[in-house]
Amino acid sequence: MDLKRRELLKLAGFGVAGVSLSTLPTMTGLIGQAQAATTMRKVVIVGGGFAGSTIAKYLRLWGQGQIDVTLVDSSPSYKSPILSNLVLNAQKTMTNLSIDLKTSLTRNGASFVSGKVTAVDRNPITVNGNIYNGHIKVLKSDNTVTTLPYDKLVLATGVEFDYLPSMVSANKGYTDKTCPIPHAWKSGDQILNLKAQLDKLPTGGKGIVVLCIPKKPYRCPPGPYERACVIADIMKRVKGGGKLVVFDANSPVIATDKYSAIQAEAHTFTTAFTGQFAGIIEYVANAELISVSASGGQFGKKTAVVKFPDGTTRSQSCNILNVLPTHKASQLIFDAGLISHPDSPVVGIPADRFVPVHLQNYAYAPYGNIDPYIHVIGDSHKSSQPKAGHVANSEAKVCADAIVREFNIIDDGLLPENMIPVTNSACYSPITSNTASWLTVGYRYNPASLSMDKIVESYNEAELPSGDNYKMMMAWANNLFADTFSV
Amino acid sequence: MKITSLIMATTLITSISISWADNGRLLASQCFQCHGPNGHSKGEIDSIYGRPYSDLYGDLTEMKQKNIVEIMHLQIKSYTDDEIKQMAEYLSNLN
Repeated sequence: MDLKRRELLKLAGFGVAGVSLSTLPTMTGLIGQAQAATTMRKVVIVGGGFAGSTIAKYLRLWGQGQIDVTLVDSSPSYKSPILSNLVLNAQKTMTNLSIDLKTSLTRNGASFVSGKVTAVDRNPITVNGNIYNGHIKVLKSDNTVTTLPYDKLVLATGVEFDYLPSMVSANKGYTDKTCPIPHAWKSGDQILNLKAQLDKLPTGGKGIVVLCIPKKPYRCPPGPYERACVIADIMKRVKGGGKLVVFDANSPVIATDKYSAIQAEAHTFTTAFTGQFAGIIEYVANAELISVSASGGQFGKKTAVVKFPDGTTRSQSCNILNVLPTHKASQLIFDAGLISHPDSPVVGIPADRFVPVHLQNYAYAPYGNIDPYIHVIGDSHKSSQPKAGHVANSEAKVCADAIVREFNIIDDGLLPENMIPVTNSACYSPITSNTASWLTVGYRYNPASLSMDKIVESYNEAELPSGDNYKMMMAWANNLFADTFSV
Repeated sequence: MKITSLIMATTLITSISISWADNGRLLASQCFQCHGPNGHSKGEIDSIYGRPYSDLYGDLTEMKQKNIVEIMHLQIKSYTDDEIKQMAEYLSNLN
């Protein structure tokens, strides 16, 4: 990759010392006389998921026609992970969960480029007499390369995984749709793969499924436990029972209660695991996956080996092995030099799995400095907020608001450094094919600690899964999709 | 190209009558994940645009005061009284 690192603006103490960020990007006096009449600013967004699509829309809505927005994604169609467990039990199809990004973005006057980002160059560049803060290069699907200069770059590129070498080798030579050990954690073909494997699971209570949950932080805290319930429900209803072993790498908060390792909606999932699914689900905490193997392809035999804190191991053979690997930010984030992998740290680049940002505007903030030209929102950024689509939409609006203020498009007397963002997370989890639970929480910016603090009074889960919650889940998803993708 | 996008955006903006007076715009936008774009809900969840300010403010503060395990009763506890006023003002002006 063609990577050049520009000196970061040294703004240590931003938000405390009261340095006005609003003066910075207007250095886009950089923008040049020729453009002064219209002052069009260029924002380039990478990633068309919940974070990227939301910020594209809201920059257009709030930018008063002064922001030229281009979104780049390697795929022309986004497949939602939200509701994707419902593909497994045939309540939804992948088509229901697919968004045509060009249609979605052009509805709000943004542009869409389908292609792979091959370079992020953070040096100023002059294009047609206008100076920009950097540019990216995109290898488009028609094999041509295009250069997109930006005043601001927003990276909304989601998560990538650190796979065990044994998982890479077990899946080698297969596609997402046919690999023996799917993660099925990014929707799309891997979900269809897991569904095909579930459809072929032996009946008569003879099927064995293993689900491996990684250490936090991972995408969608209740998601793995929701998946366990959806699979156990399928086994109970149409497979005559069977066995689902859930290996959770997380440790119990209370040593004597293994279920206290559950990362979200502990009450709901403990109740389901020990109640309606007691004969099917075996929940094992502190179980770190150390190796996997597969023979006989997609529908063949698989084995998972886990290790416990006392050094003992357990090997479990199964018909289906669904592994959610350890998470990290997308590869582009590492390639762009924003962070370096903790296993191979690079001097001068934060060694982290996720990107440190300033939480008033999501600007890249390595070592407490701020680069006001690169923003990272959604699952790639590092904060106390969960990695999930609803809250990614929420973060995107905070970032969009900060950007229109930094561009001086909105002048209502509120300075970016005085803003106290409040974000929210809400989600529903299917427990069976006709019941669901929910979880909700808010976060407020704390100017003293520069963090997004969980608002304790706003945090709770549903008292009981119910059919009403299942209906509300669909209503919630419809509105979230409409707000994010204009569908 | 630039002129085209400018015209499109202007059309969108006038159609949703944005008030630039305060932070209500950002606060209210955080309702739309569940209540739909500009408060226009597609299904069972209530639409929240264009209701009288006093109704909205009254409902929201009542939910903030009650300890009920429902999503809105919990969500609204994230906001100060001032923020609820700004949110209600903004939403009441949406159509």
